[in-house]
Amino acid sequence: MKLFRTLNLKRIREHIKTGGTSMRRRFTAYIISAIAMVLSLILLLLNIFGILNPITPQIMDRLDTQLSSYVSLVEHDYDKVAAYAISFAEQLEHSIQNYLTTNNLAFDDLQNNSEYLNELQEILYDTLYLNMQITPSSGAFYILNTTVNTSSDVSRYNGLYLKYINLYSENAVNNKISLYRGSVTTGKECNLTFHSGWQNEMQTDFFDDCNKVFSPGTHYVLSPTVNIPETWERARYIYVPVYDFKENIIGVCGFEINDLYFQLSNKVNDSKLGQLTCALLDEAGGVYSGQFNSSRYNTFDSLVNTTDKNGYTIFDFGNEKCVGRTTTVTLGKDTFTAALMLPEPQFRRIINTGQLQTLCIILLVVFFTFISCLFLGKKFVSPILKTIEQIKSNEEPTVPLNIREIDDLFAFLEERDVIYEKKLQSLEEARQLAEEEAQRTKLAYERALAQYSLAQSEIQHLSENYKKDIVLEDYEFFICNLSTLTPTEYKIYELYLDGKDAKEIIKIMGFTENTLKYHNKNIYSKLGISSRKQLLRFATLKQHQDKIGSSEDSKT
Amino acid sequence: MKRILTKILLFSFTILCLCSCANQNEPSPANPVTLTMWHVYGSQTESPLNNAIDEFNRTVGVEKGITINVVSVTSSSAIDKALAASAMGEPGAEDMPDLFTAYPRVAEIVGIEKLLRWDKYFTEEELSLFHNDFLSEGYFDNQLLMLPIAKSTEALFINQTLFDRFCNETGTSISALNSFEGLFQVVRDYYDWSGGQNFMQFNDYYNYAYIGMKAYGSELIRDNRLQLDDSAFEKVWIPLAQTAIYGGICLEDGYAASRWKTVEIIANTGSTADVLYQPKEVIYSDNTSESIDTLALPYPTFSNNNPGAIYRGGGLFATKSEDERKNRAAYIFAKWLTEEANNLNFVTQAGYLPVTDNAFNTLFSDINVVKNKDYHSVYNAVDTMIQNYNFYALPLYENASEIQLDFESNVKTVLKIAHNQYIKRINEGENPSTVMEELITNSLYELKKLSNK
Repeated sequence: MKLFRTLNLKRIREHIKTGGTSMRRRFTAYIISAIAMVLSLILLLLNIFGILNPITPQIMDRLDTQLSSYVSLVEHDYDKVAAYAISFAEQLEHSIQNYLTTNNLAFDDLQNNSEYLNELQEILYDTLYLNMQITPSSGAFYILNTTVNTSSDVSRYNGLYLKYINLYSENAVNNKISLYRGSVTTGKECNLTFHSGWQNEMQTDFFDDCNKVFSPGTHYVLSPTVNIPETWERARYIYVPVYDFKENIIGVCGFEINDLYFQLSNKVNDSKLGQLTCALLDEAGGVYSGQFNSSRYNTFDSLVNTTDKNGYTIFDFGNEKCVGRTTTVTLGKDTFTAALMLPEPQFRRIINTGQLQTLCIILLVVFFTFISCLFLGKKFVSPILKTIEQIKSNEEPTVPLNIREIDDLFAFLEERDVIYEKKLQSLEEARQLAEEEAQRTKLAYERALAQYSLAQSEIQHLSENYKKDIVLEDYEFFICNLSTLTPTEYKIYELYLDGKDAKEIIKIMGFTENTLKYHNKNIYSKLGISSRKQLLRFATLKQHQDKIGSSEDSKT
Repeated sequence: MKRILTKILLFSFTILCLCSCANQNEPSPANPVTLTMWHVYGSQTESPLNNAIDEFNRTVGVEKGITINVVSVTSSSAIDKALAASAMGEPGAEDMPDLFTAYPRVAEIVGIEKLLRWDKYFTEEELSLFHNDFLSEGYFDNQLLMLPIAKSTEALFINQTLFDRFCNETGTSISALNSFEGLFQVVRDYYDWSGGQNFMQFNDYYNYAYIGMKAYGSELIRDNRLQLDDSAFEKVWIPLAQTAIYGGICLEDGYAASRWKTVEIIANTGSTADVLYQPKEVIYSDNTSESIDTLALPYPTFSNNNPGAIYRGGGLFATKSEDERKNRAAYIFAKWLTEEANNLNFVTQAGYLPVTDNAFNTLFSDINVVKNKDYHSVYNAVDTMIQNYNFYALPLYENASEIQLDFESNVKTVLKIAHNQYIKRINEGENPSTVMEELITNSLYELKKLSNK
């Protein structure tokens, strides 16, 4: 606002309104307008063709691409583990059947017989260990629907469960293993390290509804994320059924994917968005739980509420939020939600940075456009203004502008100047002639005036002489009866006074000669005169007297 | 017009600066940093450091945009191996973690130049809060590369339930375990009483020898070499060898805690942090189980001469990053973890000792700071040791790690062979005393020979 106040736009606007606009300002304004229009058009086209999309959809596009890639990877990885699990189950079935056959036992004979079960564990250990080594997982197990002690308070199941110790890489080959579940005898015979949470048998709900879970068409099951008993770990299990030769399910076997292994084997990075968090989630009534590739989120009791907003998903962890995308993925017989996210502040920062960059670019373009226009305006208009100034100061333009229209204008103006000069010269000559004529007229006038004065004095002299010659009574009669003349007669009288002869009066009045003679006779009779000569003498005298009278009246 | 142009120019320049330079060196929620970490502070059942890290991630981490992502909780030897593999770029090795806990020896493996200097981030005032002995261990060429976050010392752990049973039947007193002489006698007695069961496992023979030599006024390491020809070493070696050859000391590799669980042993010397791994029940070979109590006792002395113990535990290293935000994030986390309340909360869940003087005083002025009552005996034992013992940090010298590992392996090998020969020859009817004397002498000779290879 301060800047706008400083710019004092109001004053500038008023100045433009009242004082007109300079050529340079007008030129600059036109260029700016033209560039602004072109820029607007370019921006519009870029937007229409998707090159200059808003930032949020761009981020979502990238997330979608990464998510799609991540889902493919998850499907591939879990299918691979499932394939290993199925193969593992077949090997177990074969070994168990062999053992039972060799010892002439039925599967039920293993119940409450630690000797058989320990022996079977030792036989199956190699199969388990080998499958664990080749399968990308953090642990492997088999569980049989039997126990060494059916009188135990809780249901326990016999089997072996091995876990890697010192897991720090997705590549777990040569990592040491520990015995998490299995008999002491097996542990010692196989020289295994006992897990801190070791127990000899398993408590598990793997067998709950086992027949339903492994309905026809179900190749494997991916369990929900569960806490591994006696440890701080959580894991999902990929497991398949183990059948006896009658196709009854006698156990399950599979692999453990704990949170740490999930983290190590699921890394998603984006060159623009940075490190992303991916997750494989179970959904129940809008609440999500599962595994994340960051221990940060694996500790949130995995409760995530999601809300769709503006095309993206908000993952609410309570004290922090993430923004991302989700999609469904079917693994085994169940549908899971694959998610890809980044912290909300990071998301906002990317948007803000993008917007700021765009704003910055626009400002810079505007700024440089403005500067360029000012420069161009100056460059283009300045020589013209300079030439005009030179013209104003009557100097000859030193250098041609090389602008055709302007040079033509100056040539035109020069021609006009020549014409005007010629015209002026002729006018000057005319003026001189007129002055000479006026001088001559003046002299003639003065001469005429002198003659006139002379004639006046002569007239006066003659008048006085007439006065002396004229009979006063006749003249008075003449004066007194002058008013008795008819208008026609008086007109003829005046024409005579004007010096017109009979022919001219006939022509003017449209009379015949006789009519004139008739009127003359009446005039003579009424005025008491006998000739035109007498008439003129009396009339001249009267005029002279009228003139003297009027001059005396004006004096008084 | 010029002024207006200048203002526009300045405004644009400021925006450009804001775009390009804002918070480049400091992590923030908008510009978050994730640090990967390998550490040793946890068993397979519990990880107090993970709990502390969760706390950090949920509080300061959220506030400052820092995530500590634990990608491995493992043993120090596994970390050494993995770090070496990462540093050498071995196929299949992971990238070096941003943070890891390890012993000082790892600096040599990884390379000092690759490690973050904590003294460039911690102020002198902040560093002055640390316990001086702990801090000094972390300096390499006057550069603080290893920051102490938790220390331990060594103690003797006893399966009290089974030991009491043994004492009741044999009249052995628990006070016999105060010295190594007494302990070795108890080991032999238990071996006889149990019909050939091992009584205990030594977690670290190198530490045993080091403290023993100190007790007799000598040094195990001089001129970067083991001083096995020193007469003090014989004084340390003979009682150990005599007992190990006789029987009752487990000479196999592996964790003592596993053997506790299957009752292969009922005692071990080891880090006070072993309390975290001690099982609460044992399982016998007939698949029956029994709940047990665990007792921690001060590290035994050598004829009550100069009682001493090792300050164990490595410290926190950070890999130097070109991204300064990562270095700053590592400092913020390390500072948080070593603050009195956080440090006490973390170490007392794991049997460790805090690293600042204030936290140290707080802990030993009121042991009830330790919330887990099962751990009180450990801290009581340490309290006794603090009153009466000298504490030593293991010396760092060229090839220290290799020499230490070789010594451990050689001691076990020599004594295992000697034990097997002893059993065999006794069974063949030879005089036990003569055989014993011969095997003790031979074992020492063999040990020296192996160590000089």
